[in-house]
Amino acid sequence: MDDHRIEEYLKSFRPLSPAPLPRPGRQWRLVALAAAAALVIGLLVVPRSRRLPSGPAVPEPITIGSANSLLATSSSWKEAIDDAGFAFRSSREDVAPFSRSALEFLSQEDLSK
Amino acid sequence: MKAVRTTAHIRSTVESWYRQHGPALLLFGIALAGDRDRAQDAVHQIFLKLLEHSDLERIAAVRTYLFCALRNTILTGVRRQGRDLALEQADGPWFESPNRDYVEELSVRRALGGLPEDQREVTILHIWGGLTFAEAAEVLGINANTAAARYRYALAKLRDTLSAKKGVVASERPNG
Repeated sequence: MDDHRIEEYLKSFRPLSPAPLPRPGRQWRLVALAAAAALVIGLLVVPRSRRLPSGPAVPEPITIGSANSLLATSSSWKEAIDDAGFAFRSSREDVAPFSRSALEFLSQEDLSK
Repeated sequence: MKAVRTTAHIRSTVESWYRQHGPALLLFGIALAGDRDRAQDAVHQIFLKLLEHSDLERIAAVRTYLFCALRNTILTGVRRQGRDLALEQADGPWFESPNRDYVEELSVRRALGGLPEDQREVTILHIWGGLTFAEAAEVLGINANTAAARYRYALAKLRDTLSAKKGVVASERPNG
């Protein structure tokens, strides 16, 4: 093969085309879409979490004075009791952390004396 | 309205350059980077940069500019990553083989891969890039005579390699 023929032979092999040129704005569009999606999710989630109570409500102590004033201003007993929040108030008092039960106390008693 | 027209004009100009020179640039990129994906990324990178240019008219010699930009992009990336070029990693075909003869395509690819890098560069620029020796020399930062000499050495090696391979291939086939 002479130089001309080898050149022609090599030229008969055509280089493969590259992948299509990407659109320059496409990345920005993707970023904008992701930001919009994050915003929508945020708007949906944040108000819901705000509505949730952050911890157990501490009930205000009811005094005779406050009960009397409630009864004086309310039109009925039921309304006064509802306003005071009796229906939702826990009746159980917290037990002191170091208190012992009677059984536990008695079990330690020395019966030999 | 003028801005829209200008943007559309730049886009169409750059896309026409991409269609015209993209295949040879990709081949040159693979030969330089040793990796198809990196070559593809580099080709895209230079054309996406061109899309941001508003003064394409200032580019006098488009082909030379494109090959030069691609070479700088790839070599800068290679230097930054501190990696050696290894052409053996460049798997997959480089060419559309005439008559879909994949054995011949592989022979040409291996023959090109077997050339020293400086000879391979000038061969691709001249044969598939269509650059003159003066233009190839500008891309490679060498003298035009040096480019021509490298090309002659490369062509002699390719002729020897491919003649031998063609003989082997021909003898392996019962019908020629």
